[in-house]
Amino acid sequence: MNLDNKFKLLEHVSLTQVEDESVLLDLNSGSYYGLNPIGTQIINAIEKEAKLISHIEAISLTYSMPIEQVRQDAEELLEQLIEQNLVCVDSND
Amino acid sequence: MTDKQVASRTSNTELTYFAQFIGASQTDATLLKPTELPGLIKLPERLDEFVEKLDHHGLTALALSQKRLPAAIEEQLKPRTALSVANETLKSNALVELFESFASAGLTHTILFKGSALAHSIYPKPWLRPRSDNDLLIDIEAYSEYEKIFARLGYQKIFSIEGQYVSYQNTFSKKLSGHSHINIDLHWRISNRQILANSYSVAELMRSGNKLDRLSSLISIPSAVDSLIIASLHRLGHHHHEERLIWLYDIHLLATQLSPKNWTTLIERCNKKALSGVTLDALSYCQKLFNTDIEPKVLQALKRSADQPEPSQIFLQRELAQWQYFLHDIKSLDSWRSRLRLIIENVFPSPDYIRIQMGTKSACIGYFKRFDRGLRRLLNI
Repeated sequence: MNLDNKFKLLEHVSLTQVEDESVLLDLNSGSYYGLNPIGTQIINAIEKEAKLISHIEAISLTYSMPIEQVRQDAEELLEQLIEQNLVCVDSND
Repeated sequence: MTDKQVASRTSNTELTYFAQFIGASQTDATLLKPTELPGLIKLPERLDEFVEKLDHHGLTALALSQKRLPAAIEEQLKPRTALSVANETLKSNALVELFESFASAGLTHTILFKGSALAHSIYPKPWLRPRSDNDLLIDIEAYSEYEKIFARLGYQKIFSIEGQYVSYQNTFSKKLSGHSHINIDLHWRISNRQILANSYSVAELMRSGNKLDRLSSLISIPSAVDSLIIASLHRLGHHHHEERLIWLYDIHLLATQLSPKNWTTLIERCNKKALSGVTLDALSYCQKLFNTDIEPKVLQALKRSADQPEPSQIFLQRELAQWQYFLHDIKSLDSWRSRLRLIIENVFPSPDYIRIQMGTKSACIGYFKRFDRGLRRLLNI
């Protein structure tokens, strides 16, 4: 997974923030996914169409986690989101 | 269980106790732990019972959001938030789609009222206000147009008792994505109780109502004053044997939104509609449970109006049996013809309805069962 890419939420996906966590809803299937605070920061970055790599350091500082750990978590989350057809690589990038 | 027993099921102690978990009570919830309610809950064995009661009162999401629950319960309930948010999103989208279709068909005189209107207007987030359906008030003349739109959008009409007087609403339901459903209660009168049925018309609510911009500018809801009066009459008129805190909390939140001018309007409107007694009862109870800020002169003015006889005050006698309320329904109709019709519609609903309601293939057996059940209720057997 290349975090230098830009990603985007697909049109049939709704994102709702609940305090520092969030809920992703696939409007077509009704399936929903809860995201913890770190997952929420990642998905917020995706929604703002920002490159994830530029957010990894900020997340690592906020949660006092090693950069490598955050990078690995972000990659795993993205893989799952792409697999569930919630997120795709932004081809306009 | 008799009607009287049902009425006493929700005690004042229980209401006062659970009111503390939504942060508006005179006592801080953190001072009173769930273990301290005698005979009701003993943590951790009775955790489920505690949650069940919170759910019954419609407070779970609110209490969670205000971080007022013991940690063990909070952990158990946390996954529910995602479900509520997801459901809310699907239902809100469906509601907007419905109102867009109404607008396209020129049906602009439609009011969204009760739980759903309140969830989207006075609560910080709509999923904090649980409800099972969405109530719409329409002009009866346009009913068939609404029915066509429901059919076109894939809604199914839920089978229910029908007639000229026996019910003033129908329910339409639609399956949404996943396991979600949306239910729409389409009302052509504000209440099924004859005494209350004409309390408000769509035209009147539209005149003083607001646009629900938080969801869609195509959706109209009653003003805060009218919402408070409707919530008060609904609490006693429709749920005379039941008391849920969320209904009272709605009224508390609405009351906190009213300006001095709004309070004057409320007093005048209650007086004009002969609804001062039911509104006073709701506001006084809110003040007791949630410390709602209401000027004494407001309560005094409502009390003065309520000292005059108001037909709606029958609902303040919450210990009455169903048949006694029914008797008042009959009396409040203006002709013998309509009274007789109401009785017939209640005693002899359509054969199709009776078969489904009584779970039998034979309409005759169904009518017999219904008669037997009615007699038992009448005699409190």
